Amino acid sequence: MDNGASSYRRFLDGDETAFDEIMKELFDSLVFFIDRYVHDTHAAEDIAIDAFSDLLVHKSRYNFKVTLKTYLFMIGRSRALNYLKHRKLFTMVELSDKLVSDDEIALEAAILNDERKRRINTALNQLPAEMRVAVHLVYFEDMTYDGAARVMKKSRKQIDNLLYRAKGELRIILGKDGEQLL
Amino acid sequence: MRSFDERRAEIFRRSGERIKKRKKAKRIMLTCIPLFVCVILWSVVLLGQQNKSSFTSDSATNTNTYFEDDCAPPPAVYTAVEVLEQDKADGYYKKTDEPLKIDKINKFIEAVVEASKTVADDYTDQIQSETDANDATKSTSYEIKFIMTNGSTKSFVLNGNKLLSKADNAVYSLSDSQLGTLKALLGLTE
Repeated sequence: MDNGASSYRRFLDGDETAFDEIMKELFDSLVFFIDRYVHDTHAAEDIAIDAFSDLLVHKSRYNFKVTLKTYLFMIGRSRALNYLKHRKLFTMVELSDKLVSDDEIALEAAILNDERKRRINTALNQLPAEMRVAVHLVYFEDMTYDGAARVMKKSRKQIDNLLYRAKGELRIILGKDGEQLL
Repeated sequence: MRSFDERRAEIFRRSGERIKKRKKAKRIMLTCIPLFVCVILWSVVLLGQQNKSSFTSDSATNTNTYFEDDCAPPPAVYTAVEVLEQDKADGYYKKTDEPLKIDKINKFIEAVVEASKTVADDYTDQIQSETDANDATKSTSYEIKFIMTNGSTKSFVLNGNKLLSKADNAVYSLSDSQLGTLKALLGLTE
């Protein structure tokens, strides 16, 4: 598994179907990841479309030194933060009061395919933003610490610290049952 | 949420739009840069020409004014004034090269000359003869020599209360006070 790099190489060589493969493999994960920042599935989908169109516009920008997934997530994060910065009306919504849309449920169902991940995801909402993203990248997207560090623009050590603290927090939230999940 | 095909179509539509925008921006840049360079070059050339013409017209105007107004050429610059007692080998000799003092002496003599010009030419010969007579009675006469930057000189002879310009042989009479002042300036007073 090279997380789409070989498919992208084939796409650059002129194979149009390779792009579909990349989309099938990475699009939903990207939307789910962006949704962690923007808390709006439609906006997350829009941003993910923009991130994918970046692949088509700047074909030579990706240098194959990191996985395509890491590269796409880096674009996604940057665009999500940009979206948050430029959003004029930023309404603060309590997570407990937030209405979960059908789209979000469908997306979660597609990404979180086992009970363990779903339970952790529910508990994740109670963690600070950076811990949430770090856990998401490492446990849900199976990224390496280096990959997560690149996406979050942090050092490997910082990611390590974030995950260590996140595990502690999750233990408190999930209780004894939760220890088995981690 | 959009379906897979809708997403795919949207990605290609947006990327197409962005590529078009980039091409347009590139085209604009390619058009604007040479245009900008041309405008700068043109303005530089124009400014250069304007400066040149204004300089030429200024100098021409100045020259015309110089001639039309019949202005005097810039005054001669003196580097030193020598005062020596005539007819005596070991007589009084003094040389001044202080610009302020030279200027004062020069201005004073010029003022005396200007004032004496009002005297009618008919009297010049008469004064000359009087001077000659005085020369006989008063023995001490001094030569005042102005030395200019180019080495040329302008000389006057002070004899009693008469000042003789060697350049045009004109004689100017000095009042006692004028004589006193001139002597003081020349350092002839004891």
